[in-house]
Amino acid sequence: MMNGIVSILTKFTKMFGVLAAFSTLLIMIMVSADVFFRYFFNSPILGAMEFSLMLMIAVIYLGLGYTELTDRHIAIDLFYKKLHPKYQRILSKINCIILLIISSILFWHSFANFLYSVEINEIIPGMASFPKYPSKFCLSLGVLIYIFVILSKLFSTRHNDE
Amino acid sequence: MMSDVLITGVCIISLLLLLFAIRLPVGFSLLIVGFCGIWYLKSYKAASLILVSTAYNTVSNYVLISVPLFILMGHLSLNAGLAQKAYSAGFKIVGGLPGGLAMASSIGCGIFAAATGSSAATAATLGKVAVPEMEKYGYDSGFACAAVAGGGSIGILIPPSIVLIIYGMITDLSIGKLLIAGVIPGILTIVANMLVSYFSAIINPKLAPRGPKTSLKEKISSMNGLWGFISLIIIVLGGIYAGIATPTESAAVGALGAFILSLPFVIKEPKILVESLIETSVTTSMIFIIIVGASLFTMFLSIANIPATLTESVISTDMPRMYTLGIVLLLYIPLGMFLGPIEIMLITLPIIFPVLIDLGFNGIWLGILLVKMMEIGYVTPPLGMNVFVLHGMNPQVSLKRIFGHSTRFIAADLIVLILCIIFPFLVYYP
Repeated sequence: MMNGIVSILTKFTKMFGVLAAFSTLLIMIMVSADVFFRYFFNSPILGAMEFSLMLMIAVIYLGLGYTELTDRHIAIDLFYKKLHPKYQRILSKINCIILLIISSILFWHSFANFLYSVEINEIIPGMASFPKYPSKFCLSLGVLIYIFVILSKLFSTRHNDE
Repeated sequence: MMSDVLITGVCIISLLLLLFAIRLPVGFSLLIVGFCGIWYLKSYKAASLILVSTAYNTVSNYVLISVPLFILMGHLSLNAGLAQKAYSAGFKIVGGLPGGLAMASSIGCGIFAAATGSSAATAATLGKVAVPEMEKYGYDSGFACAAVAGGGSIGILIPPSIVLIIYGMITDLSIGKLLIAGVIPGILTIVANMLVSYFSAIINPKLAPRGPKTSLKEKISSMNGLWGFISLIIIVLGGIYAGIATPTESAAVGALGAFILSLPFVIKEPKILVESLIETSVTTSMIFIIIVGASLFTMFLSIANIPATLTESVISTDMPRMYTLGIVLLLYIPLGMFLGPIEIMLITLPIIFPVLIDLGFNGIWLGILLVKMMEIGYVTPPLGMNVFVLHGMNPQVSLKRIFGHSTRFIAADLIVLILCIIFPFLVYYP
């Protein structure tokens, strides 16, 4: 049962990781097209900057869980590596709990902030009056995926380094 | 007042070190210390509001879009075989000289670094190509690895340096000017490394024998596969230098150019594109969570009045300002043993930058000096990252041997650093 849930969450995280990856390609296309139209036709693409900023949030936060899943967040394992595997396992669980607390606080308040953004119809300052809530939703969703990854690591019986 | 700040400072550093020691990710460690500190000094409500606004606003910055785009440009260039082409051109041009293949790896590293902006990636990629080639021509393996480790370290200095972009973000300096400021020190470093290889081979020919001689025609034709990348680098840097494009616009054009150059490879194997994009997204996420954590940490430091108090106390000591600069630069060596350049910058700059600026130093010049110090950290024992990368790829060559040969490249780096200190016009043009 637990393995099934973990497997679904892993697939879900990978899917958002790929989505974040393709957002980079979209940023490249969007900014290049904006540069092209501005310099050759003196006509920038309306909303290109705002849309790129939204995609930037997607790249970072939707990729957060995948980065954790692949254990790529930068950490210093100089002392950790010297510990007995039993203590390493205990420390990994403690880390998961600490990360769970801070990311839950971030999720809770960022989601409230997203709802508020929808309510007041907040916009990104610029020519295109682009709404802010999609990027705020990406932030909350990314942190939620990250929480799922941490939870699956916390309840996983397999040690990270194995 | 001073003692309160001192106690707070000691508590912060202790907590941060504890979190680092238990292997909590650096970005989250900074986030936790910043959040708890603001909660302690203000309130939970203030801390949570600042947490959310920092998580959103720090990332929602148009200039910082250049970071993933430059990373993408690097990954696509890598997949388009830039490392092999750059090394092969260097091989044909200077390979016939004493120490020529090591000199070729310095040239290859310079060209590759200009497309990727990463030191470890440069060392790892060139290491795969250059070290076996040098060994084939009878080079000492330790020297071959040290030449690539030393050459690779310029990745964080030569534009487009991701570290300098982040430095510009923290210090609010022009990122375009910072990137351009890295050009001359970067070229000087390449030349210094080449001279080290040349004179090492003259003194001890067994260390780095001459490679095969090539005709002028072969030297010119070796550049054939490189013109696309060289044009791309010129367009990216030229656009920033001439002020006709922002770093973000240049980065987008650079990434698009690298995408076009890698198309023949992508068409053959579409997986390459997906891998490049995923790698870019993971690296971006990994860097930006540290930036977000560091921004919250900086906010806390400001609320606790630490940078201002430190500035006042340093100025009141009447110590000559060059001594203060020397102490700060030396501090970067032990820090480089535990942390990467981005983490070092994000943790230390909020504290030391205001002090050094108040002492009258130029921010752009400081940025280049600090990056130069971190570059040295990449090849300095006991934890020089590039040396470990090369050792990982060539486990038969002991760390001691690589570090031993690295000392001559460290000396070259130090000479370039001293030149930049004595002649600031090498870095910026007022």
